[in-house]
Amino acid sequence: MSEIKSDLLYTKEHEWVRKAAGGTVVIGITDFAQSSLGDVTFLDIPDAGKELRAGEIFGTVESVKSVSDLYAPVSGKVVKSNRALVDDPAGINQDPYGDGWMLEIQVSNSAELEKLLSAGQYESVAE
Amino acid sequence: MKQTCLHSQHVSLGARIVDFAGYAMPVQYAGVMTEHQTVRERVGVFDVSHMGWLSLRGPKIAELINPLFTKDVAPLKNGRALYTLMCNKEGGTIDDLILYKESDELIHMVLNASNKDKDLEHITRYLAAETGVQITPSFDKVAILAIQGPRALELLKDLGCPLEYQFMNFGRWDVLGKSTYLAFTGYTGEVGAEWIIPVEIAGELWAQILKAGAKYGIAPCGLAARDTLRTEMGYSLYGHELTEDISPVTAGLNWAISWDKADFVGKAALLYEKTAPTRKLISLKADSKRAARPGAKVHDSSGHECGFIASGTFSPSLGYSIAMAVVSTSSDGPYYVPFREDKLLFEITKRPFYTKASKS
Repeated sequence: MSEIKSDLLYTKEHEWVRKAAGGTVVIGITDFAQSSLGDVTFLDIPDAGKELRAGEIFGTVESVKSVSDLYAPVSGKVVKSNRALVDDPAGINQDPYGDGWMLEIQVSNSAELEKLLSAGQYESVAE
Repeated sequence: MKQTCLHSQHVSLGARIVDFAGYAMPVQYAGVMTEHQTVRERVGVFDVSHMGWLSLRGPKIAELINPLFTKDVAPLKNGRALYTLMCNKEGGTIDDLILYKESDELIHMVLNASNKDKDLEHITRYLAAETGVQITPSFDKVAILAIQGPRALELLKDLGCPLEYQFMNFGRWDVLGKSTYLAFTGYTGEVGAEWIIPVEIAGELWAQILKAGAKYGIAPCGLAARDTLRTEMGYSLYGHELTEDISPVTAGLNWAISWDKADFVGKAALLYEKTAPTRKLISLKADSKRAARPGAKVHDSSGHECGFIASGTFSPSLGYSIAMAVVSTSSDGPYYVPFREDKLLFEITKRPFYTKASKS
């Protein structure tokens, strides 16, 4: 059974969203996603400063046998990008909700957070 | 989908199962990175029973079938294995395989799973007029287990293997009242063997291998690790570096062709290609962890599309992306593979990508 944290929000594309202070969110991919991928070999995410639009592809995560697009769960500006994770993507497999964080985003439209899934709703997606 | 005789063992070990050549096969167990490393540093065991064991019996069988193969099979000594290819008249590859000469009257082959029916038909048609030849496919009647890694030979000794190691030697090994073959061959670049076992005792021997191998840190390994290991060695995989349209000359396998052998199927076409090649297989590496995928288009530095990726992967032992590509002989590096918003830049290198000296 993959782990789902009750205090996070989720997307159908298997990303998690944590609300942080000052109107930002931190995002990554879920335990279910990392398990489906297998050992992550490559991560491509934007640097700080990039503007994202909800639903658009912002990057790529790869394993030996698969390639997955990463979708922006909300619109906003990237304020922090986990470059250490790009250098060594193993954190995605080992600690998807912790060291595996990918971006911190300054949310431009907080109404978009309402569209995200609760842990309970994500549970039925991650079966 | 078909299954090998060890399917339930793979399921109980938690393997992720995929369809490969019509078989439900384990692609990974604990994970491709750890499995790959286990083979490079300790010992791993692979179930490759989807491949086809074929035996041919008849007087002077090696001479009789020699024209099917690019390599000269006739001088092969008893107890020796040989890597060779069967080509079509246009020089394209029907299959690449290992051939085992047991005696002047008995030869075996291991055929790629995706080609075994095609190969059997090709060989049968070639030998149709020969009344003294027995063609015995043992597809799905034998298991084939590859035991590979620096500790493999110690493990085999612990299991009671009576054969002395010499690379590309093979012999019979009677175990549990049945006849098996053990060949010192492999597809990983590590020392080891491939064991051909009647299905009736395969389950018992698989369990014995894992039990005796525990002290060496053995792990069961799947097709994903098999692919990263062979790619690091620059070994061809049928369907990638070799196809009905890609000849062994294009694939840089001149050493697997006996040019001074009397005529063999495809020889004229291969000779012609050797004098005027239009395509070549090159080895590439990138300063990136991003893999180029098979089929991706390759461009030269002026932007012209000049070929395609045959195999490409992140290399677990080297820590960067490696690939083999078929490109036009008139093109020059550096090359790139385009991505959505990016270019993956490759420089030309030589295979094997990985050597014992190069490990990171």
